[in-house]
Amino acid sequence: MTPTQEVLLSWAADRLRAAGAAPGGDAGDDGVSAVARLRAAREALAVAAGGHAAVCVLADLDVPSWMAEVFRFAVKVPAGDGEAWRRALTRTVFLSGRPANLRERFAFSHTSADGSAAWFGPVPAAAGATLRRLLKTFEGTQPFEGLPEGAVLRLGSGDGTAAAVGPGAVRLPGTVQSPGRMTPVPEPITFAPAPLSCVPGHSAHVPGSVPSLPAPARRSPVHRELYAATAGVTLAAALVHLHHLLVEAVADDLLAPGDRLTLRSAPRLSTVTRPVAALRADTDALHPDQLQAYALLTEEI
Amino acid sequence: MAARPSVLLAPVTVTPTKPLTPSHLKGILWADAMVRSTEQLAEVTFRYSHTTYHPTEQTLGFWEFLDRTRGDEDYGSLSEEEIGERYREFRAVAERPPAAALRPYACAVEQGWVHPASARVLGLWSGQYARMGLRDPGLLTHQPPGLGLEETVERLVQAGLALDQRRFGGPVLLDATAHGLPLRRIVSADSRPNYLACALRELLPLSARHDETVLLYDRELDADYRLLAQVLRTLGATVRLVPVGRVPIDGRIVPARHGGWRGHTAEALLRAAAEHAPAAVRLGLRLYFIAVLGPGQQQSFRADLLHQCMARARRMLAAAAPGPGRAPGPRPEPLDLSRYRRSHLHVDPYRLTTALLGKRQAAPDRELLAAVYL
Repeated sequence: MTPTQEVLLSWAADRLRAAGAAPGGDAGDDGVSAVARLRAAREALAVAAGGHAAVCVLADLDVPSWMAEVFRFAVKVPAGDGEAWRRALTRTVFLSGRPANLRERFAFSHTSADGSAAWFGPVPAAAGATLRRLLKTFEGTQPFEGLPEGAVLRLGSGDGTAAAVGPGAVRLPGTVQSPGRMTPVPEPITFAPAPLSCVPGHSAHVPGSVPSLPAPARRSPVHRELYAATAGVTLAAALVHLHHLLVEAVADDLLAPGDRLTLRSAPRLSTVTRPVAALRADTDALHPDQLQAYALLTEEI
Repeated sequence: MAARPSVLLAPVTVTPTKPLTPSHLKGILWADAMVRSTEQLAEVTFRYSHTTYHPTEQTLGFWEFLDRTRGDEDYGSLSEEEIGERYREFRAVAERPPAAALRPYACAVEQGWVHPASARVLGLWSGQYARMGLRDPGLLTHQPPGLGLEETVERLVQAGLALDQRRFGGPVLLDATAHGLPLRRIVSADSRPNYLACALRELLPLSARHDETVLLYDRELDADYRLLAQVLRTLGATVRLVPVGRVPIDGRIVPARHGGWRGHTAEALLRAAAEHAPAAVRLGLRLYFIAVLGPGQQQSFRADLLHQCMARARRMLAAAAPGPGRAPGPRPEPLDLSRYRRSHLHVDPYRLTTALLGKRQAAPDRELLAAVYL
């Protein structure tokens, strides 16, 4: 499937409908006005939802590792909060901050094993106001360099094994370019074991706790590809797109513990021909009257 | 005998891009009196290094602006008002110079280079300092801070007190959020430091080596200094905050970047005081800027009160002077300076100077006047 404007509009409208809005921007409508209607519906939804939001606090960043943590955060979101958050289109604020310095003042829903990232909420936006006042918006203005091509992200299985990267043990380059310096990650990326036995929709639990109930019945693990667009995309924007895609895919049971993701990048995703299971479309920065696919999940490969 | 305690006083300098105004003078006179009075009781390190603060954008940007817009001007023939007028023009331009344009200047500063416009201003200030009886803290000397910028950032990051997100296109953020203080940007994504980063290059290595670090600062920068103090305390320093208010002109506090210094520059004040003897000018300036104005910023500058203080200073000096034909009165008890320290090691210049004024009956101690005020 090639994500044409019609397809993109359809995905975007479906997403709004899933959140409870009535976009009226279906494929077949006039393209320009459909995008405008989608935007208006999205803005109306943000107001009506009362601002349920999550906060992602970032001290450091390696995108594939962070994606694994997004998954682990998403599977912990209690059903009630998750539904309210979905109605607010899984709005997430990205802030710079050091989780270790904040943990005594704020009860994070999830903190990454290496302490580089933590999530607060999702909660009504007012509940995160103190955190937002204390921290600053994450300014990832560097160009997004893409995901490590072909690396495999194995999402933590229900029996407690960690999320891991690689088909068996693929090493990620794990480097982030900076002006004047390169910060290599010397060791293969590993993730500390954390049991992931809760799938939204199957059971709910308090953030931060690990349910001791027997693992609910689940579908068989699947293997998908995850594509991210890179052309004209900043690091901060890529995080936004990937976060929406991942947390909504978890809520829709498209991603669950035991699944595998092969990571792919391309300047734009119009060349992707595989069947799409989930797609993140947003306004095309260069063509504001069009949509662009910024991240997508394929059907099982 | 126990070793004397050590005190560090390292205020942020006035950028040498314009004339000294009453607000600047107040801070400089407070620092000078604090250093010289505390020296009677402790070992004092006074750092007032322009080298440390040249790398801020307001200074480097001004130098680049001058060279770009005026070329090689004969700054030696310009007054500080004329240079200040060019600074006002620079600050009125909204566009920031790109980092690449400032880099040659930033590198040169580390080697001791100073733009001729600022060298001219500092030269003029040196003369004014001498006339005001201010100790020269090395206005014309290359005094680099103990740490480089990258080393400073690295130390802060390792201590959990900063986030360096430049490789993502973000800034360096000073982080005392563990103490409930908001993050503060100190270095831009393209590695331009602000004054807090410059201060930390100097304070990190020095503050830990002193029993007390005094941060004397502009009251309007209170949030920044509370943060700076918390960072230094976390690294083991004992820090005292001493806020000093600015001096409004006609009821308004106008930043120097907006100009408005006409008639109120240090040079103008000194010229207006020409009728007074040099010692009376020196003591009078301190009586006015320290004791009369106090640590707050409620009172506007009043030339008539400054003049009265100089007259008062002349009388105090006359009373203190041993002179022929004068009956040798009882020598006043020397002031016990430790009374003006409260719970800290440094002497509070306001309490000391108001005590001096309050001793209406006794002549002030000549030695104290010479050591601290003249």
